Amino acid sequence: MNSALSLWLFYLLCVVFAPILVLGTIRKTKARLQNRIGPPLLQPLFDLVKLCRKSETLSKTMCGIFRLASVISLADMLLIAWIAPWLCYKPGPDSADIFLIFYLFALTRMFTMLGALDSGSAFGAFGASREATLSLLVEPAALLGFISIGALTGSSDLLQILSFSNAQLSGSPGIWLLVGTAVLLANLVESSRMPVDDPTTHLELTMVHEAMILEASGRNLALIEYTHALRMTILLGLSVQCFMRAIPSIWNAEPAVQGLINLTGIFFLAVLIGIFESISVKLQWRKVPEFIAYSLTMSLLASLIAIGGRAMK
Amino acid sequence: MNASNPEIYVIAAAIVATLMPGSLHIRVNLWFYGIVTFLVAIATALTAIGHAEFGLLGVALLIAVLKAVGIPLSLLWTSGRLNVSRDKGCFLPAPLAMHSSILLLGASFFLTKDLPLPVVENGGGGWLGAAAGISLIFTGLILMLTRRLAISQILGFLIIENGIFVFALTQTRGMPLFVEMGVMLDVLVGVMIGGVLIFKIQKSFEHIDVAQLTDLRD
Amino acid sequence: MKYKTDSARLNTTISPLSQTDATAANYRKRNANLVPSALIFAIASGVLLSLVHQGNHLHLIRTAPPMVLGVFPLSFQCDGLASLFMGLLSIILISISFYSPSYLNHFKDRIQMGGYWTAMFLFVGSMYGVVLSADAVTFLVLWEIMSLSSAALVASDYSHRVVQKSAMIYLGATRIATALLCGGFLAMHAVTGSWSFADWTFSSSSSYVAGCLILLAFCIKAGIWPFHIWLPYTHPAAPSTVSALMSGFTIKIAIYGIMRILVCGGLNSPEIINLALFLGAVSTFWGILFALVQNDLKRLLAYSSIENIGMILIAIALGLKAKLAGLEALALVAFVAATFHCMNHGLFKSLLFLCAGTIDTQAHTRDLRRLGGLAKQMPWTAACFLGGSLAICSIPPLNGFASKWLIYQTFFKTTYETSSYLDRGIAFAGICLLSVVGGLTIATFVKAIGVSFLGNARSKSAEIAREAKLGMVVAPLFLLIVCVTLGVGAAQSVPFIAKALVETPGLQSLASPDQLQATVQFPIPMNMIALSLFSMSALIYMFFLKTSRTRKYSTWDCGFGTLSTRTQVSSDSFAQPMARIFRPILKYQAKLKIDGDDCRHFPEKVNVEVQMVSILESRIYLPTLALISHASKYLAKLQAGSIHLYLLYVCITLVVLLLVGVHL
Repeated sequence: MNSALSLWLFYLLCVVFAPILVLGTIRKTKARLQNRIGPPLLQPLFDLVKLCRKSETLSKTMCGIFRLASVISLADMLLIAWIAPWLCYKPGPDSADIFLIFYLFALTRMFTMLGALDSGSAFGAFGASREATLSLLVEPAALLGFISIGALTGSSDLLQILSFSNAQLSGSPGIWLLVGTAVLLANLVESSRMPVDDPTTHLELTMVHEAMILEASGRNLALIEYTHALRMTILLGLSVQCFMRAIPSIWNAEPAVQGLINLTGIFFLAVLIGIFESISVKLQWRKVPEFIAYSLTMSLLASLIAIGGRAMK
Repeated sequence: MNASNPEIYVIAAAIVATLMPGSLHIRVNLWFYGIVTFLVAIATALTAIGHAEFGLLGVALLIAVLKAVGIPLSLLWTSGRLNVSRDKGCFLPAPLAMHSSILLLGASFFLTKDLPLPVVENGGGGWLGAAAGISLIFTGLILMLTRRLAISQILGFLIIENGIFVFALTQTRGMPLFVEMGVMLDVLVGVMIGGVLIFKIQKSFEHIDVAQLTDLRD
Repeated sequence: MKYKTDSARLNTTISPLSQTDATAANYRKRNANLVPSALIFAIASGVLLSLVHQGNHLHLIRTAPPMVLGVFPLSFQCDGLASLFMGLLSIILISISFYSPSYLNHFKDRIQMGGYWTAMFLFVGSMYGVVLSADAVTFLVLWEIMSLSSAALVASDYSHRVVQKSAMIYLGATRIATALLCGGFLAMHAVTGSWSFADWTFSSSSSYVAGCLILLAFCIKAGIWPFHIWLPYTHPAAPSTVSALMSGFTIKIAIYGIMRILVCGGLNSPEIINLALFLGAVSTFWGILFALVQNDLKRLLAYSSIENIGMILIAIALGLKAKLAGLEALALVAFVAATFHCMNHGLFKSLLFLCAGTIDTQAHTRDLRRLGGLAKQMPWTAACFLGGSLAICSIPPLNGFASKWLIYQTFFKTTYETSSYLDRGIAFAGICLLSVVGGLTIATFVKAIGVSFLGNARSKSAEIAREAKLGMVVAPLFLLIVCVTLGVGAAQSVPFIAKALVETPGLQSLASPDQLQATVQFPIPMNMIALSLFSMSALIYMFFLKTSRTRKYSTWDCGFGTLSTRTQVSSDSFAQPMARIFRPILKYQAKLKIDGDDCRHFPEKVNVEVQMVSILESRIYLPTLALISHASKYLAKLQAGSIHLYLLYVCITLVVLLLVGVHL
């Protein structure tokens, strides 16, 4: 009972603080690479608290779906955090269907886009249009990756796909590397990170996510920012889970060690994203599909392994 | 998987090669080509050690030095001189070209399995290496098909050459050293002639766009 | 269409429109819609009640009344499959009966109500009949009545030239479909010597030609690529009640036909199955891609129907493939997926068409470029449309997700249960296709909602639109409630459908009723998801957002002063990035023209023209039609009008027939 309680506590702490720390880590890394000291790691949390104390400005054009969107998105993201195995240690349901998780992500995306269109602002609408385009390209890549591992394990349940006791997959680190990379690349696009979208420019006209939430303010903005960070953290967690399985020695490690590696892996990837954002430039919008194509390539290779995999065994 | 060591490297080479059609940047493509050729060189060296044919080791060294480093550097220099960094692409968009070369990679693996191959008795030389070779040839063809610049055409040709070499390496163990040296020399000469020709084309047509060379037909 | 003119005359005699008692006539006219609507409601709910009452032994009401039509007896039977489709039709009809009185009131000057209702009753009756018919002749007779009456319904508002053209296109499509169907049925009769569906099996190669003909005929009726061309014409032209019924149910009858005849007949030709799979896959992608770039709301919905029908055909084809490979359990999952998606699509597509009809009557336009901001004025319709869109985008916990999940599962299980590499590859490609299509669906419906309901009104008529009358709100709401129930209760509805399918003769071999639990499952706790989503949203709203201070201000305009309504994103510009990616298929072209002396810095006039060409229409159908009409000119010379010439034809025909008779 006591251990179950501490598990719950740990999980809640992770849900609340991991997204904030991931954001903080990325910012800190970028600042250090620019020879700045940078804001403290918990700065995103301070920002959220400050936003919560501010009042909200709403457009007269809005019909209410704008605020509904942020509420539903957060509820949905918390549900995903509850279902999806992005942490090794997690109290939660004993099944996590991969299609369900993808369509729950779609729920958030759809409401975010609708919220962006609600104000009648062209910024939000163009952001929504771009988001729709990106998700259209990225979704098959991430889905296909997980599906190809699923085909090898014979289940579409993520918990079974990722279970360490699954001996069938222990011998093929290649497929895990491919899928992890595919999900990581997809995450860069989904979370509007660097080569696709620059979250730090001042010009909303060129952006995707920031353009969609341009009209948000106060607590509403706090909800949206937190949801966005949580989404990125969950996806990072999923790719870390894949990468962990590519290293044979982790398969037989203690569960506690696995959990620790998982958590540190998330922050390691956050540092990597920070470094990548410092050395790369934002792609021209029309070149973005060429970047996303690499994510699909990884998944296609993984699916080739899955198609032939059983025959080669 | 029951692939032998050299086979793993040639398969890796084939996979890296499939990434090439996805990028239109000459520099990225040259990097990829270098990696592919280096992997082939490693595979050659491993085969040499595995079969105690130390003549092959020299070939591996030559491949690593000349083909994996020398050719990319010279082509990089050429592209710098011609002031081109990015291909325009034709016929298929780059992402689709990459995905179709992956499909061909899959197809070559599934088709080669049933191909009657001259498998040498002393182990090795399974169908995996042959599949990688054929896939490299396909990738090179796709690369040549979807590119406009003459430099990219040369790259595609080089990938095809790699494919033929891999096929030969994994299938026929007894290829004389001189023949391989001769092939390599041919390639080198081909690249040099190609480089010179590019300059020539640039001079006489003021571009190196192959798609526009249709003027030459009459 | 003789009855049409008759009933029109009837209508004028019953309610003569005179200047003096216009209100009385008006009242009577409204009544004239109320009574048939009530009748339809009564029929539909009666059928529904009897289905519910029959409960588990649905297949027992097997009747073969010896109604004699010429020499052929008509025979009907009701089994699990038929009762599912009858239930769907009844639910759609109930909501349409709520909707009709107020809706048709808007058309009282344009539609002849007598003709409309006569055709409607024929249509409804024949649809029930087609579902129930147990042999080919009965099926064909009722199918013809259904086709003709629906064509009459499409042409209800026949004073418009567009409507006339659409009705002709629809009529043409149904003629070709019936011709193919007749051919297929005759060929099948020749093979088996029986008209009864129960005797027809498609397991020998002699029946493959018939199977292919029947498949093509149903594909035309279902609007499968490349025969989908009639759908986007017909739906915008027809009244919304009719398009809801046609998109919700009539195209499903074609699917029902495929299930009843080909699937229950055990079709086992890999070529035909692959053909069906290919056609389904192409129409899925093609449909949603063209839906994305439409500007007419009903046209958009029509194209989206093509997508969904394609998805259903894919599921059926996968099921047949699995059955061929000996994977009975997988085949059953596929058929359940197809049937369930039929139900779901019928429900939410009629919902969306009804909402589109409401927009059409209230804002007097369906053009997305002239709509906007309707959510504030029509909150209920907006909520229904949003619900329907969420369902069609297969967002959990709505019903669309449940059936899409089953289709995904079919593909997914194919990736590791079959032994053929090609089938595995196809399954992976299918999952890819479905997820791309899912993304496009979300984009399409976000565009539809965002441009019509959100933002500011783009025209005067959209600005003055008000919420419709009660009936027109209740009808989509009813369908939405059914959608939500089916979705949240998916753990119950999926086994229910599986049970009904297994009780159908021809599908009984797939699984015995006691194995059913193991083969078809829906393991996702949709009710828990719905509950947690709802409660978490409510909590977040109550404790976090509700208490925050707000102020109203105008939308951020970069300091330029008030934004005009034209600065909003338009339907075209929302779809532009996606249309650009798929421009080779759409033949997408955007022409930008900027005028002005110094057009680089001070543009005076900016003109953007977006152009899309449906390749199929411009490259294949129009030239073919031109060729046919050109050829018929020569053919028309045969009909010279001279009696002697005709006698000569008769003579020649007789001689030819005699010769043929002698030599055979």
